[in-house]
Amino acid sequence: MPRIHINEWPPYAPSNQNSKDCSLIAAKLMMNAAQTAPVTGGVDQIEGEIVYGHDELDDIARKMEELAYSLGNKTKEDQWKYEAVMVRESDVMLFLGDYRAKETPMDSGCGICSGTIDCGYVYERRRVAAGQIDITDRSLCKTAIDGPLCGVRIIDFGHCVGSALWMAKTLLVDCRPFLTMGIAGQKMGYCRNSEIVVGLPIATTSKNPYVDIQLDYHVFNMEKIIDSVRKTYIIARQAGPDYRLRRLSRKPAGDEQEDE
Amino acid sequence: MYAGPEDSKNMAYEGLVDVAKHVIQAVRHAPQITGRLEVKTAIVTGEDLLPLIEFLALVGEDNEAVPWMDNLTYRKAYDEGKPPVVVLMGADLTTSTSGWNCGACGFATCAEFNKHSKLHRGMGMQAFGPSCMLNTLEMGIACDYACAAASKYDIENRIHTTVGLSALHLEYLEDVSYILGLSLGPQEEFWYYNRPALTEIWTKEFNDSWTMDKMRTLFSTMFQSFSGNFHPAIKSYDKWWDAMTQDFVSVTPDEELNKIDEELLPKVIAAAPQLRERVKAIKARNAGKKGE
Repeated sequence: MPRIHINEWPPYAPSNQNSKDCSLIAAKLMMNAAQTAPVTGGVDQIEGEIVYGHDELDDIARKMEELAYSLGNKTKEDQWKYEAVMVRESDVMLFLGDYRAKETPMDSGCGICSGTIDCGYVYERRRVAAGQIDITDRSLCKTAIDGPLCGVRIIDFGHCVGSALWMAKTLLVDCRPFLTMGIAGQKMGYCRNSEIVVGLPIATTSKNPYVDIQLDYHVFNMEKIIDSVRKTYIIARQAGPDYRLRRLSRKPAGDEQEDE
Repeated sequence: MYAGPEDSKNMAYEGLVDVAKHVIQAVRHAPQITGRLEVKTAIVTGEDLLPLIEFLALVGEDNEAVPWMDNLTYRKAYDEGKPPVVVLMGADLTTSTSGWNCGACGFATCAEFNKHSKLHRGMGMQAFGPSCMLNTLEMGIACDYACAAASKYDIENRIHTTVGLSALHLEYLEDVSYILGLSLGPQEEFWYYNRPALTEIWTKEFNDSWTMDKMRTLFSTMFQSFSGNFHPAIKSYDKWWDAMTQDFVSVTPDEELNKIDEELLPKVIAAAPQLRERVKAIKARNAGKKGE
């Protein structure tokens, strides 16, 4: 039987890859847990997509950094940038989306979205043909999410996300729900049928990468610090003696007689 | 210690309250995206459930819909001396505090939504609105954690919108816009899913008159897609595609349904204040007791 060795460092080395592969299994189980969550009337309404691999995750992080500035919401700018770092530190990304929230509301007049006893609030703000919401014109969207969405579907979607999170907790992998990642993923074409997508990054590192986040985390994180050490240390090493000819003393000063 | 068959059963039943406590721990510990939603909870069981059961009966009496089924299910459990332990989870979803400007509500910014929300408060079939969609999502995650916690203990449970609606009307929880109710127990293999409480009522006649009737009304395209003289026919005669009109469906008021609807609201308005007073008395009686 081949030996399976797990070690967190260095990232993406074979030993680390072994544990990342296990995170992938966790992500798949979480996706199934989301499928079996209780939803109103038992109507299937969610889709899931798993993104795996260094470059794929980096693409998502880059998209998030782009959106940090292009959405123009100053109060959330840092949050976008910080959470992009978390994506880079994750093993796997699980996207969950609700494909009914925008196009096929529950039509129960529940009042969540509007406080009225009908669904007019949603239908009046959409193009409608034959009683169906027409979503083909996607140029109308001026915000990160194209609302209004159906409140019942969103509650149900919450149940699905919750079940996935609970599965992560059960499997002892680190995971948290992020809207930033969801929006970025949806804009990149993951869970493309859904207007609202939540990103659930999964990590199996000793330190949960999604908590205890420092200020300016986008420049003050492990990757950047290590890069900074590499940069500085290399400069410090620009000159040195020929180690074959000159043996350096490791004795206290004043006790150097033994050295040549 | 020795607990016999009856005693151990009763002890297990009493343990449901402990599970309810754990469920609330899970709700309060649920992950959030914005981290700003306060979910309020309550535990109701025993005779303090009665106003809620009576309200469900009142709402469901004539229309034989979900409140009616839930009323029968609860009533049977109560009469048999094993009322469910109900965990109520509610939150005020109407104000956005996250500053996300995500647009899911249909407005470009949270400020615009909050302005609209303040001016358009109202009650739908299940909830006060309008609601911030991110708050709604957080609420969903919290409620799912409640269900998952209950399932970990292998407790018969079901999440009810109807129970939440009744609790909202009767003010079991205050200053909230939406409530979901999670029933824990009674510990039968199926209590809320196959609904033993309905077994006797659900005869062939009932099935034909109620279920199939609802099916035909709700899913007309599934049932009325014949081009013959079936009744009720969407398409008037065999060669329906030659018909002069394209209006294959007409909308007519349902006299029976309208009558039920018209009678329901005054009935609820008349009965709700008394029930609400009783709930107020229940709350006053239990204030500060921590469920003892």
